[in-house]
Amino acid sequence: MTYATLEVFRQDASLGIAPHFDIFKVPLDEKDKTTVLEALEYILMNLDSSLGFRRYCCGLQSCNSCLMEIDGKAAPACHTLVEGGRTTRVKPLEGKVARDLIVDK
Amino acid sequence: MSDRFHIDTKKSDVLVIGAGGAGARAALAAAMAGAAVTLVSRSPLGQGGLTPSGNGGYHAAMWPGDSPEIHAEDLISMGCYLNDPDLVYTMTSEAPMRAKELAEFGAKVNFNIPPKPAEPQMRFPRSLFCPGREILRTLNGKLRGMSNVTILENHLATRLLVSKGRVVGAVTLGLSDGTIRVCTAKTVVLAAGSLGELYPLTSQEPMGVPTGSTGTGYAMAAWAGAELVDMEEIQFAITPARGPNRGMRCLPWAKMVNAKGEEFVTPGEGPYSDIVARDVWREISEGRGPVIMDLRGELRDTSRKMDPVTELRGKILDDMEAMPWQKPVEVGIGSLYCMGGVRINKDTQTSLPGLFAAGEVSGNVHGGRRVSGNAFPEMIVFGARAGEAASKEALAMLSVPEADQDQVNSEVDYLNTLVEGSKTGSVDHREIRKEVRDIMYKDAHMFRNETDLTAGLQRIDEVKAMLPKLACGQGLIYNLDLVGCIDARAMVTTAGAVLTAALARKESRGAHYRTDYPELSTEVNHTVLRSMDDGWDVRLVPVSPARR
Ligand SMILES: Cc1cc2nc3c(=O)[nH]c(=O)nc-3n(C[C@H](O)[C@H](O)[C@H](O)COP(=O)(O)OP(=O)(O)OC[C@H]3O[C@@H](n4cnc5c(N)ncnc54)[C@H](O)[C@@H]3O)c2cc1C
Ligand code: FES
Repeated sequence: MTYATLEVFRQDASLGIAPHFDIFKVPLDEKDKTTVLEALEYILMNLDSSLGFRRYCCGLQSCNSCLMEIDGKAAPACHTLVEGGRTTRVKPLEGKVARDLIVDK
Repeated sequence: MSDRFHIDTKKSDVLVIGAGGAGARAALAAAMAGAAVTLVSRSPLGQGGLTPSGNGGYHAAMWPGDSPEIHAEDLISMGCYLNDPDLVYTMTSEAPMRAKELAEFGAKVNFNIPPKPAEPQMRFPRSLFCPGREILRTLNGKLRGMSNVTILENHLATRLLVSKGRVVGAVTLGLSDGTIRVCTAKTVVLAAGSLGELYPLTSQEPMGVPTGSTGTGYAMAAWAGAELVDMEEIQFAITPARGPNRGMRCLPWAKMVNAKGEEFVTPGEGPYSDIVARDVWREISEGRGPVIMDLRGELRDTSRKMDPVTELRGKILDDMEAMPWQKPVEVGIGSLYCMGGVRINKDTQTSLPGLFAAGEVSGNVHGGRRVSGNAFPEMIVFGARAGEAASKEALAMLSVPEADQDQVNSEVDYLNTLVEGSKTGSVDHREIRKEVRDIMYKDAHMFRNETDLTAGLQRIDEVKAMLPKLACGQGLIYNLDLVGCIDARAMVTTAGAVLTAALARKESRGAHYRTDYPELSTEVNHTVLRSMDDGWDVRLVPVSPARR
């Protein structure tokens, strides 16, 4: 089993949680690659249910729901891959952070 | 002690729950009629739900020689005569006009129908084309510009409010502002989409990530006392079983082999055939899997051209080397569409005064089988009709009815207890979600029988008993853990409805296949469910005879 590492931005002003990064290890099935969005879903469902990100998606790179800063570049999480043995850093886009990766307009 | 939610109120003529194609179209129709409309969506507008991933096939009888009657006959015969003919004829009669209307609103609708019928059983080609995201872009653009429309994005409706036998609004939870809103209205349109997430593998989770299709609409309608019809009729389809393209719809004419390398698919079936899906499920459920699909070679181009979304997804996924045309992939059977739902008449009235329903959450248009390309006309035709009927009734009323304060308090307390109970409660919603999905996978999948369904219902009762112990982590803003709890409560109810209806239908009709009753029965009945304090009231109601 290989693991992808995700450094995920965390912040929740309403709960007094200051900006920081949490590190998660997401197991990857050897045969499959996983998108950032799926990795976040894995974290939410298995590692940390307090994570905030926009979860409902089209998976088509067309609704922009999943746009975030991935390794320094704005990209759709539904069509960006994480890979075994590599660290991927995810941050919210510019704006007022509502919770973790969610920014409100 | 953690914070409690702020409470606010919102009054309108028409409250629309859900902003997929059906909800957005309903809101627009009601607003154009002059009603003050509130549109509630659990996700940001234009995102979430199924409409954004809807490919775009929109069937309408517009080919020379075709007619709404022929279109309706085709759908009813494919639906195994379980469709409500009144609903079908209404849909096929209005589908062409409503498509032109969409184009007038500014949507790019392709009226050049490809000459080949979408399925071999269809007598005429009917596929207009307009992707779901284009429909939403158009409708939302208009809604945003209207002063009599309030849009509450990131608002999850948690319960319908019923007062003196009438639906008078809903309690909603504002995820972005930590505010519970008591939304009262003269009439309510329920357009909350589907229930695909009851199953562990589903095309309603494109790319393996949820759309919010957890069946809250059916559950809220049931709790309020509305009738659900034919909830056992759930369409399943072939999809990659894992990897980033999990949930993507596949094309059954691709070459498929079981673990022994044998081909097993019934020849001569159309692209969306449930017979082929059943062939695949038989291999998997009888232990001859994994089933591997191979789209390399000459099949590659045919299948990519099948539909533009596959093409679109294909281009992106090619880079991920995750497509069946790059390497053989393991496929499974996922839920795709729910034919049953909230029982409506052709004006989208439910069995409860004040409540209208449209789109996938409503039932009975497609009977036992939905023909591809016919969910969009359902969503647009009945979405528009719901907005028209709900606003007409609302505008004839003098005032917005009051909510029953006890009911409001009990829901507000429930939501507060969930977030406050984080230290005392012991059940995680993820356990419940997993359990429900396991039950549905084992006991209410493509092949059903009395033993399994009874066992499934018993397990649902056990899960139900866990619900009062649900608790979630802290936070009033975008607390997905809390959303999970609210979804879990709904999933248990909706799963119970599917199991109960499946047990009541002692025959095999359309998508519902009973191994203990493999034949069609001679009488055609709907299963009609109503939620009672101690379970479900189940009735079998004869299908109304086809017109003419
Ligand atoms: C992959 C795929 C491809 C498809 N392609 C086609 C096609 O080409 N042609 C066709 O005819 N059909 C197609 N369909 C079916 C069609 O997309 C759906 O039936 C249709 O979009 C449903 O529309 P809707 O408005 O009823 O529901 P949805 O689009 O699911 O909208 C439901 C809305 O309700 C909101 N909601 C849900 N619960 C709540 C709540 N409790 N509170 C607040 N808001 C809530 C959601 O956020 C969403 O906005 C396809 C389906 C899938 C899965
Ligand atoms: S989920 Fe819609 S763009 Fe990624």
